[in-house]
Amino acid sequence: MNDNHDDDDRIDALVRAASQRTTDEALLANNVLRRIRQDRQGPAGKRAGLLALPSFAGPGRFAPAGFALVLLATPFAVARYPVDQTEAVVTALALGDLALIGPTDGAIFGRGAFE
Amino acid sequence: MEQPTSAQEAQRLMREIAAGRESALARLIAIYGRGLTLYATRFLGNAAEGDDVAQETFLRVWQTAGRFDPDRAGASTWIYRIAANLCIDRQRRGRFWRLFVRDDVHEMADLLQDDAPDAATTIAARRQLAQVRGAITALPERQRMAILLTAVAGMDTNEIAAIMGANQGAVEQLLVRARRSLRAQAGQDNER
Repeated sequence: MNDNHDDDDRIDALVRAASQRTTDEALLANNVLRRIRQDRQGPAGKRAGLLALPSFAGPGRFAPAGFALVLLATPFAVARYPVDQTEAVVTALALGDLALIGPTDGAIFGRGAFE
Repeated sequence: MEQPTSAQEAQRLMREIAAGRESALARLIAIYGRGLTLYATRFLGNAAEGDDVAQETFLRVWQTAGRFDPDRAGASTWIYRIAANLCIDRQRRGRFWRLFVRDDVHEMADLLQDDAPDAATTIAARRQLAQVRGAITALPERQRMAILLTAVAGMDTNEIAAIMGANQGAVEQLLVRARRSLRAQAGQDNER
């Protein structure tokens, strides 16, 4: 019985060890609170908050297949912002733009670049 | 593992969150954020999706804290139930996205940022952990949920039963089967 229990503990410890990764609770809290505030700001804020998720726009994250198609809107010109991805997405969406996020440097392409 | 906290403190935080106090939500995230992120990451097998589920869970906590009833469940049980449902939803509708999302990039970043000191971590140990991750991912959904809730989130069978909507006996069976599979996998790996 004790042997079984010890072995269960060993397996659980392996599962625990295999699940370790770096986490940042302060960043998590910051992201959640930012989304709460965006919700309060109405549709534009909600839309930006909805799409500025970490899997697409966090530091060190890469969009699927190199780019993330965020939103299609009116005809647009193309420009390039060498800015932080998250801020770029929020800015572009607040303007109702098409935004493509570059895979490496956070470059963003969209009509808002000229406004 | 979560920081130790009393049920009373968690209940007080839930009341404050329901009253709209953001600092209480930040404190709740400080207590449960890490464990919940680890749980969701390993359940879904993807760090970015684990982060998203953690974020969405606490957003739901903020939106629905007024419905929390301490007589029916503890705060941690209630929060993990939200996370468990989000994980299942995401897993079922996320198969398309997983064709494109670069899991390997996130896994590699996690390995590189591992908390364990490099000098003490052998290649064999890392390989074993990678194999355990694979074995966890291969478990049936409910077995995976049960083993992660106990091993990663530190829940007892009573709490897991409440989260999964099952009875305690069923949870114990899920844990027995999950550990048996993982033990068999570990045995195979040792024989190689």
